[in-house]
Amino acid sequence: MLAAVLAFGGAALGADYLLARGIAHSEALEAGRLARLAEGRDPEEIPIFGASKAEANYMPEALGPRFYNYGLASASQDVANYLIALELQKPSRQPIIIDLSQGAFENVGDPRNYLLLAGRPGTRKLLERAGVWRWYYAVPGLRFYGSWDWYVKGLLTDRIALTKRVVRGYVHHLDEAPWRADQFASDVEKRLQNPLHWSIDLRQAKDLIGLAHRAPERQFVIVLSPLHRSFLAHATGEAEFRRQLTAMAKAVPNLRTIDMTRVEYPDPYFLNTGHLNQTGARAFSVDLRRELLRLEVI
Amino acid sequence: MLTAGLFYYISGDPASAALGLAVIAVNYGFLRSLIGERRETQRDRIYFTSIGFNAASFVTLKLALEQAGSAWSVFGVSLDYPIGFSFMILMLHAALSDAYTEQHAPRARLGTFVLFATFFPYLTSGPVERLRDMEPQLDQLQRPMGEDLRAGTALIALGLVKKLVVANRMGPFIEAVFAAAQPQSATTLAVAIALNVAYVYCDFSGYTDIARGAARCLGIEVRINFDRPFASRSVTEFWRHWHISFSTWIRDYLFMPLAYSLRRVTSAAPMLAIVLTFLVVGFWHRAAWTFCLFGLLHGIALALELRFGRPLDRITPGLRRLSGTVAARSYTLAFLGLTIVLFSASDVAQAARIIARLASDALLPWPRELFGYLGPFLFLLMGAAIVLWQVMERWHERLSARATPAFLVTAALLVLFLGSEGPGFIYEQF
Repeated sequence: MLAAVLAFGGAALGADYLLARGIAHSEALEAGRLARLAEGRDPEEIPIFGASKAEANYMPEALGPRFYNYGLASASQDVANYLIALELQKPSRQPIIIDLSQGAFENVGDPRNYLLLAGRPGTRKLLERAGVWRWYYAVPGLRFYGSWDWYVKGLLTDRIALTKRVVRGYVHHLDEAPWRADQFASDVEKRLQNPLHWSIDLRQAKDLIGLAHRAPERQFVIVLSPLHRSFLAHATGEAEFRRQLTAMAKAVPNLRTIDMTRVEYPDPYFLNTGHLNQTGARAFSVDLRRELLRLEVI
Repeated sequence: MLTAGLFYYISGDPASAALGLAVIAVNYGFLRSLIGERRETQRDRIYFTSIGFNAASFVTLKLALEQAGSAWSVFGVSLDYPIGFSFMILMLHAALSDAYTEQHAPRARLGTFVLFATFFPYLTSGPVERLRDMEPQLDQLQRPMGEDLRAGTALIALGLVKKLVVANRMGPFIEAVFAAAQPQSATTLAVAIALNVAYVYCDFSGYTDIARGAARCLGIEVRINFDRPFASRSVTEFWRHWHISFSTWIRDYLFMPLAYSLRRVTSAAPMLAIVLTFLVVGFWHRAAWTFCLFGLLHGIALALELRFGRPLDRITPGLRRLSGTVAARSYTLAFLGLTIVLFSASDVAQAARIIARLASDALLPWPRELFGYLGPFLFLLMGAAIVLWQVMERWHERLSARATPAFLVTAALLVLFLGSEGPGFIYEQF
């Protein structure tokens, strides 16, 4: 029986090593991109953090040579703060771009993105707070339980299916469906019935302020990226949101905001009412670059 | 073992467990009264009172707590459907019935009786045990032998593979197809229906294997519950090989008495008794129209097979043996696939939509959406399910002591690399 236990342990640890050192490190996967950040592979990059809007809207090729997109779908400001803390471990003086959602939420997205970093301080707390921590995440050999196929399929989709191309963290979907007016009109209709409530999570905001205080030599740039006008049509709570944002900017001298919420882009630039498609992302990134240059952030 | 078992039973939801323990206590009272009573009329009175009590408590709790999906509040204490109550009530009735018909003369020690009713391996989802089989084992607990631990561990490993590797991988696909807002192609639905049969089997028999394995590790033999059910050539045969502990219970304690009682009323008593029995089976699973309809359809199929014989025996007498077997098994699997949709559908309307779509849409060779759902795992899952139900049902019994470590390592690696977290066991909800 001891031989059986040793055989299992050897196979599990060997496979874990292969996944953790090889497959999961591919930057085609979100997990690999987070590992890149944690390892500080490029100390001079300008990181972009945020949720799905960061992931969809910020195209590093159009922003400039040093930008890297660390946007993660369904990831709250807690995740951005956690990633900023990793970023601050680098000996860098580059600015940090944060796409702030106009509505607060508390998800971390897919917990499998964080498994390579499970042993790092803060990871467990982040996942526990979201209620997705599992005890075996801390056990080498077992930590990828239930996820092996996910990593392998993610890599195969990138390498074999060739449906996407990842350039400095931005995912170019090569099979993106052509924009359709009728489909977008339906999205607009749904959005009008489900208006935005602007909100900011004060604890998450306080954590961000704390991080900015910790690194006075670095500029923290909060960007509010564009929303379709239907998103804003019956929105509530904007005044309070802006009041909180102004208070944040006043509290920390190295924190500034760029509000592009109401910059109008044509309907065909939108994937849906909350996110830009690749055409829109390129246009927005060019506009944002201009703004960053004007403010002398880059 | 009694203390540990009671702790497990009570720790989940003490108030609802107290409700279950009260029912056990009343049944113990009935059993003691039956044992001590020699007068026929008194015995009849006790037995039929126990039937009334158990039926009333089951129906009341089923309708009030499970069906309503909400807890009762009694003196500020919240009461839910007691864990494993559907199974427990069957075992309690069987104990009383066996004592009444004198098929078993129980010693009926209180501790043994409570342990029998709340034994943790089969508490939540069976198998449905009989007091006559368990009492001798529980009365004189033996220290588990090395062989018990070996066989028990192998059974647990097999159950974990069935549940975590096969069932949990299939579940999300089936749920996504059945609940999809957009109409799915007939091919996708057909694949989902086929996998749904394998899913229910792997989930339920996986639980049974784990339960039997856990009991065996404690030196206790729990009855086998599945015996290659998908090799059945008719629906009747299927029920002899599927959830055997339950199907033998309904045969012994529901169908037989019902058929016996109805024979004075109609010459079609056995057929009528089958239909009524399976209506109760449907209700036992859940007080919902989907489950009642599931029971009714199976009851009708069994009644027709009882009256006319296996359908394909008549239709395909000229077929050679192999093709006859294939046709008969296909008929059984098709019937199961279509009726088990009722098990998984949220309501009858959804089940009807799925079946109607399957019937109205042409089968496409390989719809693109299937790749999105399953990709390369589709064939792996189907192959694994076939292997598990056809080969491994009894395979572990022939597993030698020398081969066990290799089997355990293989199972553990399968679970590690291909396993997936998923919802709880299906039968826990009944």
